[in-house]
Amino acid sequence: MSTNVPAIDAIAVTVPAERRFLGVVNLVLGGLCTRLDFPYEQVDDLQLAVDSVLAPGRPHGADVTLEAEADEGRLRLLLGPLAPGTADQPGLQRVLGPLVGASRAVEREGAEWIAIEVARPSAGAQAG
Amino acid sequence: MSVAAAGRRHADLLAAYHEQGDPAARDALVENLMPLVRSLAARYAGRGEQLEDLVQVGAIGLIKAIDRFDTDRGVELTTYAVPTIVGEIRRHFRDKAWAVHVPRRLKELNVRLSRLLDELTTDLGRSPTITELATAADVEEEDVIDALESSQAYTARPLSTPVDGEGGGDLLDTLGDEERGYEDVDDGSLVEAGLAALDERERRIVELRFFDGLTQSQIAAEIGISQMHVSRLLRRALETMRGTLEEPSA
Repeated sequence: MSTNVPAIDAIAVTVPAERRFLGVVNLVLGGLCTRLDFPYEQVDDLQLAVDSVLAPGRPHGADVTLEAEADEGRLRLLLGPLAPGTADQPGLQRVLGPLVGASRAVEREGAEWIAIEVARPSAGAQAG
Repeated sequence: MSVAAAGRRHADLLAAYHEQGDPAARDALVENLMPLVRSLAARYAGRGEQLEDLVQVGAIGLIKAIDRFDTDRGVELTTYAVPTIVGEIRRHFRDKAWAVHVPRRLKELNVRLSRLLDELTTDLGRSPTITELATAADVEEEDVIDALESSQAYTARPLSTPVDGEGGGDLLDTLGDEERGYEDVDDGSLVEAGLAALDERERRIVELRFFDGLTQSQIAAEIGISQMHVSRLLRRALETMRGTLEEPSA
């Protein structure tokens, strides 16, 4: 596993594409969300979304990478490389929609990645 | 008995059970399909569980499959029963894994956090942040993150891979895009099999979260369980649906 922290607001974590390493990705994600003061429910949804994207069979290659950028209450994630067509799988879209809203496929060096962007809800939006 | 003859025999017994309420027909079906249960259970033997225990767990799955089987679907009982039996066996392993793999310290903290999460959600009128949870539990934020992750780890079984290999998707991919559209997709039996592998509560939670769009806290209130329990059940359900038809890994 390698961890690269190019700036305080951006983190990239690369782990072997094996189920047992996804906990490491989620720990990093949990730490970032805590820094951004995301509510627990949003953190859990985000981690479940990442679990779903990186579920066995979806990564393409030996490693998977989570790139995260935090910026004023917003978190942008990039996950990959993924097997071709992963982003378009209706089942995955069905799961990601309620969990994180919109997601999109991104091509990078010939491989497919999934981009997710979430924002900390406003106090008013959280209430109730 | 040929496969076709066995299929006809099963159909006759199912009709006798579902249409005439004949309990003897159900008993006969169970007896007839126990070799299938034994065969499936044997694939999971050697993982710390006695084969006979797994057979009994699998038999529960078989009975569920028989009881839930819809004779109008036009599929073989065995098509429907296999994922249900496998799902029951998988669930058994998941339930056992909690006690074995999660350190006591984290397990105890997780129990406290689960209670605090529900209390704070009610008190604040919103989901608390990790910092607020840590303060309420009088632990560090890292401890909260660690405990939450550990509680989820036991549902992340290495038993699951997609149905047909890399990039091939999983049972969730057969769900339609319309609200509750899974009855209408082409391979309805696959979807039915995936959902059938879930128990009633899991199926309800999946519908509420991914079809009705309720949040975890809303589902917790609807079902009457803790929010953290909803989270665990969601993970378990998705894992089961992803892996229910694949062969167990070595």
